[in-house]
Order: sequence, then structure tokens, then C-alpha cells
Amino acid sequence: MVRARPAYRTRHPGSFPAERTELADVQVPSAGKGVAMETLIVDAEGKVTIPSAVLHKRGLRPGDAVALVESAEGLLVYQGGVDPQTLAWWQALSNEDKQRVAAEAHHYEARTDAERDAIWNEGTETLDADAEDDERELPAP
Amino acid sequence: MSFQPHSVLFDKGVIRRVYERRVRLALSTPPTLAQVEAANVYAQLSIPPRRLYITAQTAHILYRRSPPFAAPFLSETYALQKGRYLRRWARRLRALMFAPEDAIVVAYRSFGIDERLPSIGVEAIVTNDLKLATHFHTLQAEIALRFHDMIMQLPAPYAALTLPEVLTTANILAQA
Repeated sequence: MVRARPAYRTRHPGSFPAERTELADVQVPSAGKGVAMETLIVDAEGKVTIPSAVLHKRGLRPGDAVALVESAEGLLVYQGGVDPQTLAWWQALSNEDKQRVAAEAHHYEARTDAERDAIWNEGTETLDADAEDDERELPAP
Repeated sequence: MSFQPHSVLFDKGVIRRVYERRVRLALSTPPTLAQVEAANVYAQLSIPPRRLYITAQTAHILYRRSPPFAAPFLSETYALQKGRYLRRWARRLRALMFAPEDAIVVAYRSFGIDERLPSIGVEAIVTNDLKLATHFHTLQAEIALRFHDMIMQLPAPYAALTLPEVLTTANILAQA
């Protein structure tokens, strides 16, 4: 199965790290309601043709690279790139900030998965009835 | 995207993946597909005047992270406060086998308060947790029944609340 998997791609000029997309941590959309799927036919040379409507919709042009991802649920055609929000964040940083951000990023990535999970599980909220004191009434408009 | 919510609540997992996508960018290392997917959805939905929300717990975590990474999220989103009856609804969701954290997020959707407006509830939850989304959609009829049973006993404005739309990042991109 080959699935067209949509994603943003941008052509903004500017300096940002070159990337490729690794295949770990793949999340695959369910093939159910709301997921666009295209059937692509592999020709004798092993090529597939992406429909022109999809090319246009995704801003793909001749020479653009897409990734072919082998996942447990099949093959995904993945269009990578840096989304505009992430790019804007990066470009808004001063050189000093970029150095600080890189140092923090090294520190974060050096942690184990369990340590990163612990960071994102801080302050887990309880469902207990006796914790309801922090619930608020909707203020009057 | 065919459904264009005016307000969305980002699940903590989505914010985490967007955060980690920026970590990878700063290191010039390849992002994972889940990180790219979350970042693309975050960018796609960050269009004014759409209101973007996170839970109080996500805000708590971000406040403890490095400001150059966390500050943009905290300025672009608003942390919903827990409205009255939020935990009561979350406990009823737990009875439907939602994980505690998932129950809280779904309950925030209906009972989370934006004190600035003021308003209660948002139109959609955006999650990268396929298990949560699948469980919600599978039990939607039963959830709706129990939700109705609960809110009909509550005073206004709680009696007029609605159930969430649960959207996955994958589906949002597929419908773009």
C-alpha cells in the first residue's frame, strides 16, 4: 500500500539547519473517515505518479524530495520540510539565543526517554473529589 | 480542513511534539514524523482569530522549561482553568475506561474556562493520541448519553454545554 501523506512544506528563504526526516516515532493515520487516500500504481520501472491535483495542493514541484517511509501499516509517501511557525520561531532568535537554545536542546536530547516523559508528566492532575477546590465558576460576562 | 473550529485545545502530547521538533531544529538533527506532524498542525491552526488553548498542566510544564523554547507557546496559547464539574465529568469518563489523563483532557474541552472572555468549553481537542481518539469515537454515543444525563441536572450555563470534537493531527493534515 502506498499512501499519500500530506504535510506542510515551505520555501521560505533563510538560514536553518538542513534536515532529513528519520523514520522513528512514526504515527500513521487511520484509513478511516476523513483520511484522504490515493491509489498509486507502480510501473515497470518501479515509479509511481502522484496525481497532479495532489501535487498542486501540496505545492510539490519537479525535483522536490519526498520520503518513502516503511511503517508497520504500509508505505507512506511523506512530504517533509519546516513548517512556517517553527521557521518563524527559529528566525526570530538572535545568535545569542540560538546558542542558548542549542545548549538547552543538547541537554534535553541527552536525557533518556523516561526522563523526558517525567518532564512532561509533571503536575499530573488528580480526579479526586477532594481536589475540586481549585475548580472555578464561570465569571459573569 | 472541512471543520474550522474557532477554538481548539491542544493535547499535551501535541505541544510536546512541537517543542521537540524545535529541539531537533536547534540541533540540526532530523525530526521524527510525529514531531513534524504536530508542528504542521500547530502552524496550520495558529491563525487568528482562532483561539488556541492548553491545559493548566501543560502550562505548568512549559513554565518550567527554557524560555526561548517555551515562551512562544505560552504567548500563543491560553491555559484553560478548571471549571466547576470538570472532575466530576472526568470521573464519569474514567468509568468508560478512559485513562485518567485522557479523561481530564476530554473534560477540559467541555468544562475548561477562559476567564478573559469569559467562556466555557472549546470546539475541538487536537491530539496525536490515536488511542484516545479511537476510544472516544468508538464510545461517542454512550459518552453523549452520559454527558446529557449529567448536564441536565446542572444549572446554567453548564446545562447548555456540548461534547468535544476530537481531532487527530493526522486527520487534520489529511483534510487540509
